[in-house]
Amino acid sequence: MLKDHAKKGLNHLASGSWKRLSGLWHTACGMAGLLFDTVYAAFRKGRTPNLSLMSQINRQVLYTGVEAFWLVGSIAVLCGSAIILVAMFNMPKIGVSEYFGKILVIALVDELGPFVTSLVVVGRSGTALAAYIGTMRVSREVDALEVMGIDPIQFIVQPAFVGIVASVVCLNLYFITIAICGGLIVAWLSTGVPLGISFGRVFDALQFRDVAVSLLKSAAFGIIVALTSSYYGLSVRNVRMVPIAAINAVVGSMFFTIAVNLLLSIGYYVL
Amino acid sequence: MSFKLELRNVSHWHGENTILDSVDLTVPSGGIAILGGRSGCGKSTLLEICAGLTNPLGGAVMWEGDDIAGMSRYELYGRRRSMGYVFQGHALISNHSAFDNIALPLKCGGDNLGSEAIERRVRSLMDELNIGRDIEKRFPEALSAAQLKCVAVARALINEPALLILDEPFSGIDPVTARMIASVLHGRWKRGGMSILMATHTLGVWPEFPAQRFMLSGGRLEPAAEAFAKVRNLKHNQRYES
Repeated sequence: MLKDHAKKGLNHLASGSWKRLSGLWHTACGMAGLLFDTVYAAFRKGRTPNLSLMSQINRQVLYTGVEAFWLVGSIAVLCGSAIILVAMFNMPKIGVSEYFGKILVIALVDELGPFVTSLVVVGRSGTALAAYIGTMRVSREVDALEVMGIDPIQFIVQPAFVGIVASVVCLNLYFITIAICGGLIVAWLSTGVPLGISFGRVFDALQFRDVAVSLLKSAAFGIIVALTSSYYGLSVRNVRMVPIAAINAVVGSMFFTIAVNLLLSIGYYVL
Repeated sequence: MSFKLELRNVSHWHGENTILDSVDLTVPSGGIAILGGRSGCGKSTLLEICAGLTNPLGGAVMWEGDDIAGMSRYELYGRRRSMGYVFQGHALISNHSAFDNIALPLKCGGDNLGSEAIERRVRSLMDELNIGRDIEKRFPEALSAAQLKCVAVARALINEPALLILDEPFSGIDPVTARMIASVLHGRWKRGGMSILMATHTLGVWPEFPAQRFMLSGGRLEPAAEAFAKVRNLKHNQRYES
């Protein structure tokens, strides 16, 4: 009896996992198609100008970037302080104090900066974008655009795409700056280590390549968030699917962000 | 400005529910067709098929003699710029003001009009449809049903379409606004000779228009006169049998 239940459970788990994997594959293909459509719509011959494009991009940057400044700033100070304090107390114990600057650069600039900012943007704007586009579908605004001869990809997805990518890149730079400065100030206040020495060690270790990789990563994450949210938003068919699209946008964006982060790390460190 | 719309043997269904059964319809250039029928009989689906928003499961939709099944997405967008569509729900863009909603087809339509020319055209249409300047900055959620309908009609007319598709344009609004919209459409049709396809519950609207009137029932489209005659005969037979 118990064996039967276990067998059934395993079968259910296996079929569920297969379903999820094939769903992810389907989503990845859909997102690749949407990326192609978005780029093609921007550069195709005979495209119509969108006179409200800049105002839409500005609006997206306002919601995604400017309005997230306080949240990203606070998280940056907290993360930076925690990491710097942990490094300051533990590195001398294992005799690697001379790598203090390099470790901070790897942790904050290469990894945490792009990742945390993209997570904040997923939580704040990814869900909002998926729900917004989903609602536009339900209230037939997308159909209205199509019937006016306006490409919804050009009108909805392109501004969101540009706005989110620009916001994530800028927020990443902001995060790194605040995390390093804020963290070192907190460390100075709590341990008394002179600020000049700490800053000097971090800036000695910081290279242009680190910043470039961090910005590239954040741009890639921004593309993922914009595409995933738009993809799930556009796939909405009825009002019940709007919250599901918002959930899927968060889950999908997080999964693809982590997967791409791993691929980029393999590409950067291994290859 | 001309637009000939043709449906050839169009069929559509959801599961086992037949919505359209071998429907043939021609709206000649400058002609008017009015579709009647009960709620849920498939009028809106028929209009969506005519606009290329829904692909029929059988038959062909011809715009100016060209089958739209063979057109690319971008070709459809290009052709639709000479079309206006008023949805049953207003379908106005929710983060655009009333003014911006009306101006949208001009701003993204590829006519390369300057902002002054766009403003002039929008304001003139707003005056024609009695849309007050006080509501032009309001977003759709702050407009009444009649104002929403007027803005939706203005958005459909701003490009001076060759084909105007109207889905229940007079439902849910007061008779005065309905009459005003009807007279604007009448004037525009007389002036420019655009083709009009309208779905409505009341086939008696626009008695002054030389329109073809059809009834959609059980997926079949037939001239209203024949449909009414059938109903009259049915009633007569029922009375006779009883």
